[in-house]
Amino acid sequence: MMGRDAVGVDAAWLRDRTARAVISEALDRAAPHVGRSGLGIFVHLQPARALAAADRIDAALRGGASPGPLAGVPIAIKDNLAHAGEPLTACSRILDGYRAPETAPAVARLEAAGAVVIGRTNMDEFGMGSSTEHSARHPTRNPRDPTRAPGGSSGGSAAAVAAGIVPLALGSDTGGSVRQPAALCGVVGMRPTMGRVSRRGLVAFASSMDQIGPLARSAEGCARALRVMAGPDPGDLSCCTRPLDAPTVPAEVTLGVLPTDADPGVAAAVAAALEVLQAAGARLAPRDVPAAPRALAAYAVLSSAEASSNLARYDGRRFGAPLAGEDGAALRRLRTEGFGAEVQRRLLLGAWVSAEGHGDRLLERARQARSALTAQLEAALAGVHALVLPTSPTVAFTLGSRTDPAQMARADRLTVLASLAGLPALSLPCGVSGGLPVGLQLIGHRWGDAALLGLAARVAAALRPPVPS
Amino acid sequence: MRRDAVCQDAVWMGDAALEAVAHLVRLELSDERRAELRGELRVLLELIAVLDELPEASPAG
Repeated sequence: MMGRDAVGVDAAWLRDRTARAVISEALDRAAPHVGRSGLGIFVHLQPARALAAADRIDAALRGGASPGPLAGVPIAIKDNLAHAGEPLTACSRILDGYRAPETAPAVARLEAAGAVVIGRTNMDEFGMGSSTEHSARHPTRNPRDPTRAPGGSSGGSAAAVAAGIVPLALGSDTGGSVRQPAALCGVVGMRPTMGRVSRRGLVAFASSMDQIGPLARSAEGCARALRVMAGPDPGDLSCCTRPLDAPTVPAEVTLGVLPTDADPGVAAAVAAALEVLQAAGARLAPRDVPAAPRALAAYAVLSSAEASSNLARYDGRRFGAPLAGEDGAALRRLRTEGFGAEVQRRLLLGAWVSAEGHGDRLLERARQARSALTAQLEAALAGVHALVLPTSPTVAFTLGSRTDPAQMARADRLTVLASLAGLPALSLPCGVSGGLPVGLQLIGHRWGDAALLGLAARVAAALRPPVPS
Repeated sequence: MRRDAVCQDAVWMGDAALEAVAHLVRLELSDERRAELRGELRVLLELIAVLDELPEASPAG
């Protein structure tokens, strides 16, 4: 395991070492976990580019220039984030051979701050899944227990941090794809407020909810990354110009507790954590969100409909594998062979719920449920600093054990709340159940991203040490 | 608990409807795959049918 935490990520990260040495070591740690080997964390490593970047940092240091606040920090990025010239497949066969024409601003800003991308992490195809078993490449194994899934869809990124390969990784969160794997792997993962971070260069799944977020071993590590990544982007008009809020933490913290139906072991770990927080001075206030039981259904409808539209662009002409013929049958063959079973299910479901005269009423109901949920979450946040609930209803599950797609979808039922409302939310380790990490989810006020991370750091300090090493 | 005709249709999506949406999203379904999907989509449609089983939402809850 890596000795240094992202807490220490700043100009002092390198201490008296060269960036080349630090990046070389990270590449050495990553190498046993590429493809099906080891934990199956990476789908691509880029040692030459990473070492060249490290050499530029070392040269800057030798020349007395400022190397940036993240100088020499090795990072891993999810395979749906564009990094110019590198493969970009969202772990789908339909994007085999495609290389990114540009770098996502979220990644570019981290690089400009001195971070060095060492490789690309495994994920559920196009972000559709909660276990990283739906990757077209291979499954990823949970570093806490290699017989179990790391969660998903950013399972590779969560596993890269949990295994101590990198102190910081990027994932994307549509219905919980940063927070849920963070919980199952025992790390911190954050979904920023919708619009806080540019999504240019992120392969689209469900555009009204897709968001890029950091995973680190601490809330402070996520905060350092967010501070660099946040900010307007003229190339993404959904990205806000509002400055990042101040990371202020009140002297007296009040948390709104949402009722959930998590498994007994998870519920017990969260309840024990809340008792510790209460003993440390936090006030707990019960909160209710009556629309919550419909959130998962609304998410399934809306995300499938958006996916069905977004993935229409894979037509064999602009991206990835080319068409073998010009007729409609060639396109159908390409898409049938290029998309995995989970993606196909969601495309079919999305087309069905969007179809006039049939499911379109479900689509309207889903929109109504989303509006109600958003209003109720905003109301529940009144008078409290954050809402708290488990991140995942279960701990990490055994690989291959979830074959029912509805059962897999239910893994997201506690994370889709913030996704639908566009609120910032994060998961931090709060205890264990059966020796496996349990994540505590904090949902914050809109645009209160830095404050939420500050609150998470205080919560983590009160709960420490909660995670098995 | 109420489940109206819309969701009856949704839950009981038949072969013709499945073929129609497959055409829309440009997928070819083998007989075997169509049989698998009937079951898989049915459980997902039952999951989302809750939208019609509960009363209209109000922002105030």
